[in-house]
Amino acid sequence: MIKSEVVGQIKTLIADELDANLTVAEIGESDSLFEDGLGLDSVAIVEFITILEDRFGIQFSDTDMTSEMFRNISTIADFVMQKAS
Amino acid sequence: MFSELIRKTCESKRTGNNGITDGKFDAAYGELPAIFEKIDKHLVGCDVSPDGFLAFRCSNNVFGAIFLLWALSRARKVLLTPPATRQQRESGRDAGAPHFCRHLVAIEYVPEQAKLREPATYLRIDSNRSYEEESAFATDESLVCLKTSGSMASPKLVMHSANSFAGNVTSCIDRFHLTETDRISIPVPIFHMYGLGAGFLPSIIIGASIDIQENTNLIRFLDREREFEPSKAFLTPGLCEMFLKARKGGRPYDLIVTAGDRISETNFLRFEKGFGKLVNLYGSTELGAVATSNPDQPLELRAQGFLKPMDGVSTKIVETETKIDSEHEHGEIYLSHKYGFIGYYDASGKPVGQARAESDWFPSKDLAVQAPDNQFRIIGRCDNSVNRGGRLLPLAEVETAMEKLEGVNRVIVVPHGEGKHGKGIVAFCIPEKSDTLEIDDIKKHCFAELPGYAIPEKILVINAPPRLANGKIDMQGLANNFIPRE
Repeated sequence: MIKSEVVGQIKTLIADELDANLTVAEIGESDSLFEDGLGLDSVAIVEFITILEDRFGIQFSDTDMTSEMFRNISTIADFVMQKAS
Repeated sequence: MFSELIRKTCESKRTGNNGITDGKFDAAYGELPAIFEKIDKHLVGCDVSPDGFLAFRCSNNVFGAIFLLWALSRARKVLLTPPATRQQRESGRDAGAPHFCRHLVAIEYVPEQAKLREPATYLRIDSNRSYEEESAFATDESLVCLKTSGSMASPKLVMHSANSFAGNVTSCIDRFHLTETDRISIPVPIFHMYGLGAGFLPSIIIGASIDIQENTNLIRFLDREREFEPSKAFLTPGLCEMFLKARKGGRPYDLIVTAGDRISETNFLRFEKGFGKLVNLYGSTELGAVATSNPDQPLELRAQGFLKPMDGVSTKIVETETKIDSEHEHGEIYLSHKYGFIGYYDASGKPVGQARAESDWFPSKDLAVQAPDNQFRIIGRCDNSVNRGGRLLPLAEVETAMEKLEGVNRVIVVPHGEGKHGKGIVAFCIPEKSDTLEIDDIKKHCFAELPGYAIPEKILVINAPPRLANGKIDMQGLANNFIPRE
């Protein structure tokens, strides 16, 4: 897995599968997921977690779900690559 | 009376170092009297009159909590509203406070510069440009005014006497067995009746440690849960569903209270298995906490939705046109509450409708089934029923029947257009995590479980419903935006 590919997949997932009204071009790798960035609401975040788990065959434990880990797409991509390897 | 209760909490030795936190700032109860004196001086300096109504945009953080407690401890008159939205702040335009509010108060601060003991660093005070002297409330009584959440209609201004409010608070302390050793998580708004009257104020009065959360989502909640280590929490059904969807392991709480929308029996049982005792609260902006699941009853009864009235609450079921298949008396539930509201008011401070007496019966617009031991069970809304096939159909009954299908987490039924049986209805089905739902399967299930007049004209599968800022399902949003045009 190459990080840029994982980042691309995550951006596409947000644009195509969440009710977030965002295009891939509007999603920055370092943008916050929350109200100070992409604006994913609480429902979208849970959907996002579920879709990430299904798409990449990983599981987020409670201790994995931290603000630091979910800071932006780059940090999530790092986690996905670590879990999937 | 509130001033006395708050003073006791601040001076009590039993509360130790307990206080309020929001993860960024902390205030111990013992610090509050000195902070309140600073606020007194700051407001005098800003020419705020001691008897005027304050419109307070209440933030869900320590600063918001402190000002709210100051207002109650000083027996002020205060209207609580949500903080300004980003759009309102950026446009510089506010929705406008009612004419009877003389001053507007909001929490605004730069994190590096805000200091709890210096109110000028976080309290913004403005005169209300639309204030009208003639609409001012000519009373020394401390008043708390709330806006209804308006999930199905426009918000109303609901006026409470602060002293009557205090009675509501005390009965919640008893029902939830709150003590000063509790660590209580409040991720719900403290400017709405649930967060304020059931969660925040009872926790303050008993002297518990409190964690108030702003802009909660599951990630932030888990951060705070790890750091604060709560023993009890006041959640919404939406947050409970997020726990079930995304959390892999359980985490036992001594008690979790939820209020708002109905939690299905299946989810109630699953939730309690993972997260500890769950109690559903039934109430309103007008009456505060009216009834709860009985924490002393077995899980099976609580999961079925049986509710025990709070102290000071009387109930009666008034027959309506709606008839369901039940051996128990049922109809619209009317409520009488010792600690209920004074009445509805308009923006000019005029009463709307007739003045209320304490003994007045309040029509809840909820359909209920009477149960043994003075308990009852809510089965739907009177105004969430539709006429179909010559009968009044409670939509909650359709939802309950459809939720029995394996793989269905939740069903929301809304009226829409006209159908061959009368008013049309559309069912939104939310699947269990990792399940897919086929509409044909759902239709077959409906034909098996429901009489012909109760089968929805349209069935749609969605991942999650839109929600209002207070966490309740946006029913108007569902009906207006999620049904494909034909």
